[in-house]
Amino acid sequence: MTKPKTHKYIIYRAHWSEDKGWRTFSGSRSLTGILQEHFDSSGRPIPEVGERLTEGKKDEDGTHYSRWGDWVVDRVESYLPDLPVGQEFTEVVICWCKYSPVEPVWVPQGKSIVSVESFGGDVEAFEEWKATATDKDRYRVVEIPEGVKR
Amino acid sequence: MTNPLPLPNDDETIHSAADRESCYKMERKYGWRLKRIDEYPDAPILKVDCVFYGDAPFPDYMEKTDND
Repeated sequence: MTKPKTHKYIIYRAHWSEDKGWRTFSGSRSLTGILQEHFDSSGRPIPEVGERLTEGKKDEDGTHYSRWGDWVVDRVESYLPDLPVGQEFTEVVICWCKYSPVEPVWVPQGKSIVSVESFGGDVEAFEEWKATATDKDRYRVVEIPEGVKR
Repeated sequence: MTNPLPLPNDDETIHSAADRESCYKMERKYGWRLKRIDEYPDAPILKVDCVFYGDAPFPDYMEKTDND
């Protein structure tokens, strides 16, 4: 019997009382305090109090950087469906965050990967990109091992 | 303000992709955690970066599923 796969929807949001972290939805005046949303099929434990969010950026040469962000989780709520069958998520987690700024220290994370999965598994599209792209030096091109089902 | 310990240089694994859906497909297929999708509308083909938590390598082998 195989272990059921989990698929968590994790929302990081600012506390109601926070002045920062609020923005409007694109094209409207409606406000949201959602900072990040993660989609997790890894099976890892849900976030814990004290977890600090990270932020990222990319340079012109394609090098990615990340840094510790200015938000820290200080309350975690987990919501489980009554019947986790036929639904997108097996768990919804809300992480309430407080603003706790730090000095930005950017750490290089290398260049992004391009593989057949960058094209949704379309081998033809991947091969065409490899043959015609003029900016391949901004990426790390990876061939997926033969044993991996597409 | 006291800074936390430095981030490791494998804090994130980024896969560039032609569309958002490819990010979700990778997350589900390989059991990764998708942190965010960064958009680059001016990019010629690979218009999004799928940012995954930690080290997210492709496996050497995957078992066939019940759908095969």
